[in-house]
Amino acid sequence: MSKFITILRSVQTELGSDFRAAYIIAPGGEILAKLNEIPSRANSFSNANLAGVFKLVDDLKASLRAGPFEEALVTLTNGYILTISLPGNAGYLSLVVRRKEALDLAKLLAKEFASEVANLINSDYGKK
Amino acid sequence: MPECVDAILREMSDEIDGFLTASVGRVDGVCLAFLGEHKDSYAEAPSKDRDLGTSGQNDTMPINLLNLTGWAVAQLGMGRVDNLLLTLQDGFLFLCFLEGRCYYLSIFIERKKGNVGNLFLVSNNYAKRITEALGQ
Repeated sequence: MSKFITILRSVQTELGSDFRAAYIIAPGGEILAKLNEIPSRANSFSNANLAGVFKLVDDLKASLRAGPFEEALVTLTNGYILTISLPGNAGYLSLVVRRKEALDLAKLLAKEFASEVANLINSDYGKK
Repeated sequence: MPECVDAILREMSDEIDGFLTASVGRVDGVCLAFLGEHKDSYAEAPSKDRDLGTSGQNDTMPINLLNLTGWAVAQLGMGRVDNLLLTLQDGFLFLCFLEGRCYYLSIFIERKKGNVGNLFLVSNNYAKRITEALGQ
């Protein structure tokens, strides 16, 4: 998993103080790797609920018949969560940022690292 | 009351580029108002069923997604979910809680004709009007 963390650290460096957390998530909703701004704090996505979220997104996607899921933007009271679908349905990359102004950079970084993360999931995660 | 919300949704649809469907519902999943042209939409159920909230999981999907997302991110300590924008290949689905968090607004637009900035701006303005119409 260290390669995942290396990628997430690169994202953290690029985003600077706007970075809050980053997650690599399997297609089923399991968290494969995470990087929190404050590692010691027990703040994270809830694994069980996350699986439910992606199941619901799948159901909604099927009902709407508007093609595959590409990305989701969740606006929170004090931040934003950008989640993009990785190439080849390999999973999801989720970035949590503090300010709206950092969203464009977050999106750019997510797209930049998407293929690399997808390749890693297909190589490492598939063997487990 | 629902007629009033229907009228507001109709007015809102004129201002949103690429508009397909919109609905207002209670947090328990009961759909109070629906407007749409997209025949295959998730909310395209007989109106009497929708009003009674008995059209199965379809009506509860948006609010379930908002609630589940809220629970999934609760431990992040970054506050509550205000809204959620899903980008699909051919469309945008926007979901938001209305003031007081007793009701939600859902808007589905076409990807090609739609504009996310316009969607956020218009939905924000009309969310206030819908909240007032619902007596919040």
